[in-house]
Amino acid sequence: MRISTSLIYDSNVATINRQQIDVLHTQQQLSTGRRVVAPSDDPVAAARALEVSQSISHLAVQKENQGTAVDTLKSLDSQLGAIHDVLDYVRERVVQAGNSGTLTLSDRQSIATDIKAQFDSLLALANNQDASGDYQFSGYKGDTQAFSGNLSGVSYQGDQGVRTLLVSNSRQIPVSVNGNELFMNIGSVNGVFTSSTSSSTAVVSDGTVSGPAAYTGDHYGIKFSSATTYDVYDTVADPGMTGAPLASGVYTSGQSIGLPDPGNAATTEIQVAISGTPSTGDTFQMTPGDSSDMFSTLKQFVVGLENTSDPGYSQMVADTLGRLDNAMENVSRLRSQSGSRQVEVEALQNVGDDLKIQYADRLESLVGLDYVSAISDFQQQQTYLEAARNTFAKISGLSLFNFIS
Amino acid sequence: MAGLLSVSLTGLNAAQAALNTTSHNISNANVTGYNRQQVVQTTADPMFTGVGFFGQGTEIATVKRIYSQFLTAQVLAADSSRVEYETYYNQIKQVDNLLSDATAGLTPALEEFFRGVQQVAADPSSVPSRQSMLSTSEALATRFQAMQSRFQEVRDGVETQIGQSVDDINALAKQVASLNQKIVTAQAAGPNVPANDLLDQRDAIVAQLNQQIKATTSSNSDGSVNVFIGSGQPLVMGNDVFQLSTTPSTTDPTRSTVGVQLIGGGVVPIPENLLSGGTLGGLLSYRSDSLDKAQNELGRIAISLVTEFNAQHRLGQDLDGAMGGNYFTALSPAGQNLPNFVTGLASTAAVTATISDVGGLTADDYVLAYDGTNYSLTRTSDSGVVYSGATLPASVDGLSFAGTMANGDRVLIQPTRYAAANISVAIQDTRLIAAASPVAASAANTNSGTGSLTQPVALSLTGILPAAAAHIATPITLTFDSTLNQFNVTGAVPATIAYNPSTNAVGASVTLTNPNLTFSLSGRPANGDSFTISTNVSGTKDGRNANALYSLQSAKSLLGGTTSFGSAYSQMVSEVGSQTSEAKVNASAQQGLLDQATEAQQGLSGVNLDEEAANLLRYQQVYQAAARCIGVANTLFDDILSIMG
Repeated sequence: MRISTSLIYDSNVATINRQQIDVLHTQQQLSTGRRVVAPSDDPVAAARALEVSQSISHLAVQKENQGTAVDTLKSLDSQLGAIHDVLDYVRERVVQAGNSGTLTLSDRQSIATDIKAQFDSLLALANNQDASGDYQFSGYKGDTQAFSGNLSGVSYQGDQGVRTLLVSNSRQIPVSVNGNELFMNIGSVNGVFTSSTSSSTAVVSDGTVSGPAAYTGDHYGIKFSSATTYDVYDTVADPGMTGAPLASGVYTSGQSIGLPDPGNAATTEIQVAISGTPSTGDTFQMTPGDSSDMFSTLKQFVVGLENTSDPGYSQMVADTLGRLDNAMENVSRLRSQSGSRQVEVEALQNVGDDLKIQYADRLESLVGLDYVSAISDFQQQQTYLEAARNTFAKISGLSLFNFIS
Repeated sequence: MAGLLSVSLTGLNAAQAALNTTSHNISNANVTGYNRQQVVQTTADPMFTGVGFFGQGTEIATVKRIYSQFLTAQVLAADSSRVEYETYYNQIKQVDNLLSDATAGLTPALEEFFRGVQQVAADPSSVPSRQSMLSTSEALATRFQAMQSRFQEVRDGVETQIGQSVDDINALAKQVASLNQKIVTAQAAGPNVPANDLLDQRDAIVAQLNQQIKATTSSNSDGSVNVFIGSGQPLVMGNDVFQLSTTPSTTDPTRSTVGVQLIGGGVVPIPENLLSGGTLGGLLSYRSDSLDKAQNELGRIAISLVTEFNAQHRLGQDLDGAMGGNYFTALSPAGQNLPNFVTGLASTAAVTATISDVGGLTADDYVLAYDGTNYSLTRTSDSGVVYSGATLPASVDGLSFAGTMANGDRVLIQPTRYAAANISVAIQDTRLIAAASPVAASAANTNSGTGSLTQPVALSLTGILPAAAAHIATPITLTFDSTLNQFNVTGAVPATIAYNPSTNAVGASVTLTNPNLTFSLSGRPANGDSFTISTNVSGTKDGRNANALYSLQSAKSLLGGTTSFGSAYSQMVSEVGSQTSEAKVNASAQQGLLDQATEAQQGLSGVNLDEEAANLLRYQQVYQAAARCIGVANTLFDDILSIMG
C-alpha cells in the first residue's frame, strides 16, 4: 500500500479541524449551559422545550392572576365585613327601637338620625371604588357609579356581570359581587313569601314553608271576623275577602295557622303565626316572595321611627329586624363564598409553584447540560486534539530527504 | 568500444529522463489533481551477430501517469454528494440558528403577546393593560416580519448562488471543451503518447465542475471526453458546450430555474429533480424541500393567527360599546397571474382566494388553471392535483375562490408565503380593543327560584347588529314554565329551551341560534322566573371576549384542528432541526466515503516524497553507473591508444 504525502497533510488537517469543531461545540454547550444549542442538536427535545416553555409562560400568567385574585378577594372580603358591621350596628338600633315601652318620641328621633348616618355610610360602601377608580359593586360597568339616590330612594346603575380572573387552565374565578346581588336582591324573610298586616295591635310572624315545592305562589289573606276568630281567603280569586273562606279558626296568640292549598284544602302549604290582640276586621296578607333591598329597609325604618302615630310600629320593627337578618345573612353568604374562593386560589398557587418546579426540571432535562459529562467530554476532546497536533508535528518531520546530503 | 559507449549512453539518457520525471513528481506533489508519472523503460532491440544477440541498451517507451478511471469516478461521486449535503447544511444552518435563538424565535413573542391579551382580560378597563397588549402585538408583528425578512434574505442568497453556480458550470464547461481540443491536438500521435499533464488538468476541471453539479464523463477515441451533468444532461460534447442559464420559473416568477440554452435562442428548463449533486443540487433541493416549506409554515402560523384572532375580536365590544373590528390587518392569500398557456401572454384572470377554514390550510403553493371547461388546482411542490371541476373550487385545503378566468389562464396562489411579511396591527387606540362581550344577562329580582344563568358570549355575528348601538335587535327574555319544564324565549331563536330542574340543576349549556349566543343555565328556577339578555352597556370591566381571545393561544385551530399556534411553530422548529441534523449527518457520512475513495485514489496516483527520494537515489546511481561505463569505454580506448603509441 502506498500513501500519498499530501494526503498525510490533508487528512491530518481535516482531523484537527473536526476535533476543533467538537471542542468548540462542547465549549458552546458549557458557556450557554444548554445541551441543545441549535434545534438540529436534538430536534425533538428542542420542540418539546418550546412547548414546555409555553406551559411555563401560561403558568406565569396564571400566577399573576392568582396574585391579583387573592388581593381582589381580600379587598372584597374587607368591604363585605364593613357592610356587615354597619348592618350589625343598625340591627342593635332596631332591637333598641323595639323596646317601644321605654322609648320616648325624642329617643326614636335620635335613633332615626343615627340610622340616616348609617344609611349614608352604607351607600358610600356600596359605591366603593378600587385603586384604579372603578366601582367595585357595579358588575361590568366599572366606570358607572353603582348606586345613585338618597334616603328617598336608591337605584342600582350597574349590571349583573361578574368579573372573573383566569387562575388555572380551565378556571375563571369570580372575583366580584355585583351590587344587585349584594344590596338589592335580598329574599323575603323565609325565602318564599312575605307577610304584611293592617293591624296595629297584632303582628304576623315570618312564617314557615312545609317544603319548597309545596308553595306554588298562592296569595292568602287572613281576616279577623271577631277578636278571636279568623277566616283564610285565596286573595287571587277573592281579593276583597268577602266570599266563602278557604278555612276558619279560633285565634290563640302565637299559635301557628296553616294555610291550605286553594285547590286541595287538605294540604297545608305554609304556616304563619299571629301574636298580639287583633281587632275585628284586621287583615293579614301573604304574597309570594318579593325581594327587598337594604336601602329601602333602612328607609322604611327611618320613616317608621319618625312617624309618631304609625299603628303598625311593632310590625314595622319586626319586619325590619327580619329583613336586616336576611341582609346580614346575604352578606355573610357572599363573604364565605369569597373566602372559599380565596382558599381555592391559594391552593392553586401551591399547585402552580409545584408545577413550575416540574416544568423547570423538564426543561432542564430536555435541553439542559450535564456539566459533569460535558466537562469530561471537553477534557477528552482536548487530549485528542493535543495528541493529533503532537503526532502531526512528528510525522511531518519524517522525510527521507533529511537523510540525503 | 563504440558499442559500449552507445549502450551506456542509452542508460545515461534513460536515467536522466527518470530523474526528470522524479523531479517533476516532486515538484507537483502538492498540485491538486496531479497524478504521479512514471517512465516506462524497455530494452532496445538487440543486434544480431553470428554468435547471437547483443543488447543495444535501453530505451524509453513512454511516460505514463498512474491513473485509475474507476477510482477517480468513485472520488467524483462521493465528492459531488458531499458538496450537495454540505451546501444544504450550510444553508439550513442559518434557519436552524434563527429558530433556536431564545430571543429571536417566535415563541417568546407569541407568549408575550398572549400575556398582553390576558392582562386585558384580567383588568379590561385599565389603559396600561390595553397599551401593553398593543405593544406586545406590535412586537409579535415585528418578530414575524423579522423572521420573514431573514427567510427572504436566505432565499435571495440562494437565488444569487444558483446564478453563480450556473456561471461557474458554464465557465468550467468551456475550459473542459478547450482542454479537449488541446488534448486531441497533443495526442495526434496516438493514445500511446498521452498528454499526461493536460489530462490531469482536464480531470481537475471536471472535478471542480463535479463540485458544482454531479458530472459524469465518457471518453472518445480521439482523447476528448463528453461531460454529462445531473441525470444525463449533456454539457460538453467534444469541443461543443451546451450553456446553461437561469430563467424565471413558469409557475413562480420570483424563483429561477435552470435550463439549457438552445442554439436558436430560448431556454429549455431542466426539471429540478434531474439536477442533483454539487452546490447547485444542494441549493435547489434546499430551496424546494426546506426553505419553501419553512417560510410557508411561518406564514401559515401568521395568517391563521390573524384570521382567528380577528374573527374573535369582531365578536367583542370595545370600550366605547361598539363591536370590535379587525385587530390585525386582514391577510388574504397572495395571487399572481401567470402566463396564459394558450396565448403565452399574461393571464387576464381576476380571481381572489379567501380562507374558508384555517384548519385546512397547508404550507403549499398552488396553481389555479382553467382550460375552457374545467378548473384545476395543482400543488406546485409535487404537481399533485387537489381539485378539478367545472366550477371554481369552493373549499379546498382551507381556501375558496371567486372570480373569472379565461381559457388557458393560470394563477399562482400562495396562501401563506407572504403572510408573515404583511402582518400588522390594525388598531392604535387602546379603546378599540374589544375586550367585552356584546351582551349581558340579568336575573329579575322578583325571581323566587334559585335558577341562574351565566353571562352569555357570542359565537358568531349571526343576529348581532355591529352598526347599531343596541347589538341585539330586542332584549331576549327567558321565562320558566314549570308545567312544561321549559324556558319560553322571546327575541331569539329557538323559542323554547327544555330545562328540567331536577336533572339540569347542575348546569346545562344552551346555545341560541339567532342571535348566536351561548351560556349555561343552572339551579331550580320557579315558575315565572325570568332572565333578560340585553346589549352590554358600559361594560368596561367585562373581559369575556379578551378571555376568549386568550384561549386562542391553546386552541387547536391549525392542521385540521390538531395543533395550536405554539405547537405549529415547535413542529416547524423540530422539522428544520431534523433536516439540519440529517444534512449534517449525511455530509459527514459522505465526507467519510470521500476520505476512503480519496485515500484509495491517492494511494495509487498520489506522490509519496519518500518514494521519490528513493527513486532519486536509484536513478542517480543508475546514472553514475552508466557514466562509469562510459569512463570504462574511455579507459579501454586509452589502452588501445597507448599500445599504438
